[in-house]
Amino acid sequence: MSPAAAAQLAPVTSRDAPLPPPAHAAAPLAAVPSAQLPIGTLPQPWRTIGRHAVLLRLTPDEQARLDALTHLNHFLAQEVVPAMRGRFERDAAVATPEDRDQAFDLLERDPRYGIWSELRRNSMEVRQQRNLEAALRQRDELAAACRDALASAEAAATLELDPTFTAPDYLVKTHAHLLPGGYLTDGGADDVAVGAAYEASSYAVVPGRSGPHSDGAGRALARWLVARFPDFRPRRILDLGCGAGLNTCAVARAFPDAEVIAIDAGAGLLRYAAARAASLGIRNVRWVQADIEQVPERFGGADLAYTAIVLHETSHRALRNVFRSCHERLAPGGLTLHVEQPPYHDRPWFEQCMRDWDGRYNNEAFWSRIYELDLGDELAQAGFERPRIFEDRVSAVPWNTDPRAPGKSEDYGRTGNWQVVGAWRAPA
Amino acid sequence: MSAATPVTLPELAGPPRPHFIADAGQERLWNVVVALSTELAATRARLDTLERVLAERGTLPAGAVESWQPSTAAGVERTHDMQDYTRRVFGALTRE
Ligand SMILES: C[S@@+](CC[C@H](N)C(=O)[O-])C[C@H]1O[C@@H](n2cnc3c(N)ncnc32)[C@H](O)[C@@H]1O
Repeated sequence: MSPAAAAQLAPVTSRDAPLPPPAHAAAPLAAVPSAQLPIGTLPQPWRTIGRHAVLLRLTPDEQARLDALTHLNHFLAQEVVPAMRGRFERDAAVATPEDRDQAFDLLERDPRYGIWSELRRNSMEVRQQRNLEAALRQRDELAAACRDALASAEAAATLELDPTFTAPDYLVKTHAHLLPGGYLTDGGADDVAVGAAYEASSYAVVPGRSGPHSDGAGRALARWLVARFPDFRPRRILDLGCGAGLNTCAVARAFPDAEVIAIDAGAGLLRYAAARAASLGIRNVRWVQADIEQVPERFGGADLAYTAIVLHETSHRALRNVFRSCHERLAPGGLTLHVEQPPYHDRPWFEQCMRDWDGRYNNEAFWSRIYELDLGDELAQAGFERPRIFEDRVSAVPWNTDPRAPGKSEDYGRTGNWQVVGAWRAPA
Repeated sequence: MSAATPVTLPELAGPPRPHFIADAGQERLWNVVVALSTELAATRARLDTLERVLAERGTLPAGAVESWQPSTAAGVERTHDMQDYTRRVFGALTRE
């Protein structure tokens, strides 16, 4: 891929129009066997989740409770949001809000808004708590499954934990999306409870629309890369903030000849990710506990360094460090990519409120602020050259759904319609 | 149905919990409604399973449900289950 070709990408400038589907949205879907039901955009029940050795096991009753929460969320997004929007737009025509706080004030006049918010918050709390409870109850069984999955020397070698690692403050002070203990719950030895709870909640929150393996963003990113830069053949890929490795595995599958180095702060998450990947037959990933703000030097010379839905949970300082670290660890001519929800500061007021809700009320520490930033500027400050910086849209590879024909209303902030900001490092 | 082992969750770190409903009692009531709806869903799923299993394997003799008496062990299990159930539904009442 020549940097000149990258520079030809027109930056997305107008955000007033509804988000257009990217050109590659019509490409054929990857064939992955799935037990998912042909129910369009309706919530997939828990039992359709993709199986592997360390998957959380839920009893039929636990599953039914979780499924009830997904239906509640679906109802809130599909039925209550459009109703609130109708009233908001009538009110806003008279009261004409001038900033987001005023728009929220206006929204709060609708008695449904308080109840909607309470139910959205509470269903997230209940989902996270119950999945974590189930995972902690199964801690020993899950640990045994992790041991089995990593029994071979080859599999064990994919996991590199650092007992001296200290997590950044923001991960300790705010437990993102209401998961008690956050990403850092760790019972030592083979404990993977946090990963099992994280994947369970990830599947249930969208619900199921990111595919049986909750890897919609990874598949979308890989497909976007191949469509945009067909000659780009990364050999060393850095996945920064890989979490439970849900999206990492999709990228690793798409680039089977590459070595993927997946870095995260959470030991329990990384163990889970390693055991899960081994059980899914993915062998080209190393799972490394390290700070993505300072990627260790031994991982230098990378062709691709990306974050997938990570930065909004960090801080401005961390974001700058991550971008600088990407610049340092990329080989000349290498590519950095950062996938997040699209910015919303110039979207209509109602949409702004809906999208900002997670920043205000769902423990997303940096959400409200990151979407105000010009990430292109931030990349330039990290050392990337202006003409090599670009942005684009990445749409989820739909599972049973078509992103061009969503339900009545978008579940703002939770839909597989992302912005990617990227830059090529100057060639040698 | 059997009682679940109790576990203690870590504290949730972050900003104080937001309150969207001015009246604290009403907020709890909504939390109860959410929990209750998940319990009812589980019950409905079980009943549906039972009905289908029974239909597949031949029907219950008439009056079998009405005349059935739980054994002591089943009675104890049910009691524990109901205790758990009540905590899940009304747990919001214990929140600070
Ligand atoms: C939303 S999650 C993971 C998303 C993941 N990329 C995926 O696609 O499934 C964000 C992750 O970033 C990690 N993280 C945030 N800041 C970090 C840091 N400074 N060093 C290492 N990991 C970090 C967290 O531990 C968490 O697992």
